[in-house]
Amino acid sequence: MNKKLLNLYAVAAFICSFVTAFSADAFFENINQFKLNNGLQVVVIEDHKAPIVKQMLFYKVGSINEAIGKGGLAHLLEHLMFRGTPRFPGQQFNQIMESNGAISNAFTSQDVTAYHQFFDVSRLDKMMELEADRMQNLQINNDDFLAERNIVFQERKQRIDNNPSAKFYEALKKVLWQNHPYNRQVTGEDSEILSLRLTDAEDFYRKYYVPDNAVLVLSGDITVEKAEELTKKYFGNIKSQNYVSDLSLPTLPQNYKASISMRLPDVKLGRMTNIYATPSYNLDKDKIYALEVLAEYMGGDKNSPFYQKLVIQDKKALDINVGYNPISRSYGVFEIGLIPTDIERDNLFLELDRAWNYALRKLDDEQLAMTKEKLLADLIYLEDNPEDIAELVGYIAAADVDLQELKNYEKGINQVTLKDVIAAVSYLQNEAPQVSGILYQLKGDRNE
Amino acid sequence: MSKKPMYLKRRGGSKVFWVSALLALLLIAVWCNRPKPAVQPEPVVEERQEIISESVFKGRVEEIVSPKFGIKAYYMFQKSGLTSVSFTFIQSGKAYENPEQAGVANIVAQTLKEGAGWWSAKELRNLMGSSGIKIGFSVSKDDFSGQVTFPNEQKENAVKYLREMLLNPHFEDRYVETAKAGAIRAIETQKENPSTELLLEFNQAIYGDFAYGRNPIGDIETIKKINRRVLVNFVRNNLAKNRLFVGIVGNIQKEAAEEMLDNLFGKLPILESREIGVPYINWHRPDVNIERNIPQNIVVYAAKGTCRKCEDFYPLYIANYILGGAGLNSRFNQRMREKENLTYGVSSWLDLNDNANILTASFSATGDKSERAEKLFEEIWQEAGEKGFTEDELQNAKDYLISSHNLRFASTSGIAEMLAYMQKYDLGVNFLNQRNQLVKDVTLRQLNQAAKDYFDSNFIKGKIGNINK
Repeated sequence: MNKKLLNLYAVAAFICSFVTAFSADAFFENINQFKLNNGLQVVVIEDHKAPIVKQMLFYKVGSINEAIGKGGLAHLLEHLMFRGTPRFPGQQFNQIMESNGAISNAFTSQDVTAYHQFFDVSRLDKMMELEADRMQNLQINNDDFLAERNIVFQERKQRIDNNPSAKFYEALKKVLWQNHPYNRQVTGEDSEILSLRLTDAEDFYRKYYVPDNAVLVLSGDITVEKAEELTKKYFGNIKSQNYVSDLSLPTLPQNYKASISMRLPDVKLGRMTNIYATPSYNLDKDKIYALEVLAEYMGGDKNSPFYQKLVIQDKKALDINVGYNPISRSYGVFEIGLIPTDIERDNLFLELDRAWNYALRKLDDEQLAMTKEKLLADLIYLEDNPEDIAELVGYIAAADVDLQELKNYEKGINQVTLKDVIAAVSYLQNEAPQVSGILYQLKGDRNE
Repeated sequence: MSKKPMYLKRRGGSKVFWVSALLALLLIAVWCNRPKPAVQPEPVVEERQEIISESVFKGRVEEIVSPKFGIKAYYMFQKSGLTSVSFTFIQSGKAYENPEQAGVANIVAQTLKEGAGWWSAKELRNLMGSSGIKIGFSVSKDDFSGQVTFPNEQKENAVKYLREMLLNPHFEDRYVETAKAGAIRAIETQKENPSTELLLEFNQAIYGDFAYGRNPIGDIETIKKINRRVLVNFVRNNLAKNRLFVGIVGNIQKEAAEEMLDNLFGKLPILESREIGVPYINWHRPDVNIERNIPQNIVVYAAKGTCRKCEDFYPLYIANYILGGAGLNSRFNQRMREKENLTYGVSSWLDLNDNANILTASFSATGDKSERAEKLFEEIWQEAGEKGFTEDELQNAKDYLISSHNLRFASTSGIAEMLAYMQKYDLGVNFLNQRNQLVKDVTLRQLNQAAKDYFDSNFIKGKIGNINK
């Protein structure tokens, strides 16, 4: 199935948020959770506007868990999960989805593998039955294995190799993350994919696809009572494996600053990107709010002085991009990107620094207040779509972050002071492991 | 920045990181290997009573008329914290541009928010940003569209801002110049992406000189000449009351919604209807082949389609669903992906346009598999035309289309868009209740007649990659 390459920020846009008339507390009251005896965490988000439900099963396993040389295994297993069980053999899973009008898919990221269905609430029983069945009874034959391995190989070609931006990103990640498993591409490398064996997938499945390593999110026209009844019925009898994570993650060296310059023949539009490894909810949750505010201030909209300086005044960039993702099992990531106007002419590192410092000089209490207001004004959109909120909540829970953090978000943002933002900037500049990269066009007569 | 794989999705100089977005749009249009139909010409499907009688969506669509100017809209009350208004101006899209100003509609969509009425662009961004009001514009081949979504208590402000954008836009120079530079660069760099490169040539091969064959971003020379005056004229000469379809959904009473229509759109002009004719398409023209040394070939097909109100729309819609619209269960995917592992995915869809309706399909495959994939694709296509489909396949398709009906009601803004769409295609205010019957009524004979009429040897093929290997 398709791996949607961690489309988190489409969703994390919603974590923003607040408007006086919207009661965030009332909304969060609609989010409840419980745990089954076997350790399965269940989160229920009630939204009764339409008779539909989004079911998402997150396993806390992704490319971060792959052994060296087994790149792409988590993703390949995701594909194999659609290949049948004794009860629903062959392609019955997909056929049942179709005949029930369900939109079904899955994705793999660095941290998680998630399976999801969006369907009419009257199909809830069936959907849960199927998802529970393949948690414990997957049966893969070698033909199916080889077929899916070919398909994910084609997928890698389509997603990465035909796309210079993706290749640039792959290179940046390798340099930034060094020996940390975030250095891997979720798809795996060509040679890795082709060397994977059926037993690799089976072992991976047995180890990680257990109820005590999973979070089930049910969002939409469903009550907690109904969710308890059905999850007990379908997932309740799956045995706990007393799963204990053996993941041990390296700490990146502080003050690590690397840069790369890449030239690819197909590039017509240059890029410049800085990536920083930062605190996350898991590593240092007190530090994330200042980084959130900083990202919004620098890149929230075209009023940002950073944008105004680089794009409007100096015309050094056609557009800029600033983002921060604190939801992760390990480090968070802060990123600054720009599309240069003339990549061959300008010293982009210098221009970026200038604009960044210019923006910082403009930051005062008034700007800070406006930034927070904008950041909080979108919270109401959380209640608009049961699919988006399910994905956001799933990512948070699967990163082993307490859902209470959703409620704390508004307070956390409001408490950020100018001093905090300046400290965050200083942290990014001086301490955070980081990589800067520029992507140029490889021209026939150039040698660089 | 749609190309950023991991972290960045939300912040850009513009919320829409649009240089990439334009490229992405092109990419999406031609290369939708998603497991569900890439283009959903069906906005809704009615409930199948015998199966899901316990879960009928309760929203009711009404036609409303504004008291002062008689502007019509479809309206649905929904208890929600948000209200959304979706609007479409027909005959105002890219294909209707003066060729001397190719690209202008895009620039208008990008910059219509950059200052309006009393407010500068900066003030508007702060006002909307801090109150959760979202306004966006977009442009397709045929239409210029927009949407405003707002927390209910922000209604007055949202209406004021949008009205001024439509009536008194400033088009502040610096943002217009940035948008122009971005569009020009986007054109210069279109060929970075092989699927975009293919799409540009392929469209030209299909449509020739007809307006649908133009570069969707415009033309570098004409974009350079665009100024504030050109933009203002585009607004005045296109955004007219009598070209307008509106959908309103949210926590708003009918009378208030009717009044809002007057406030938002009442002062727009009335303009003459415009026709651009229909293209002549030579379905027997030679293939489009572009030789490029890339890791994976991309292949696209186009064939004649049918119109939304045509009698054979539902039969063809279902036929396409079975053939290439049903994700992994489609015939194409079953045989090309599942059985022979030739591609990561293949899909086909109906491309509905006001002046040409097309069936389109695409897939990617590495050089060693491409030839077999193409041969098989064409075999499956022609076989569907010659032998048709089975009763089982028809029933499965109906089951899916009917039971997925309620999924269309996930978000307030999504429903508002659907209501505008229903009016554009003249589907009627009761469409949501009638639609399922239209699906159910399709017989195997009609289905196979549509297959015979459309899945024949009249198609155009395009390919980029290692052609001769």
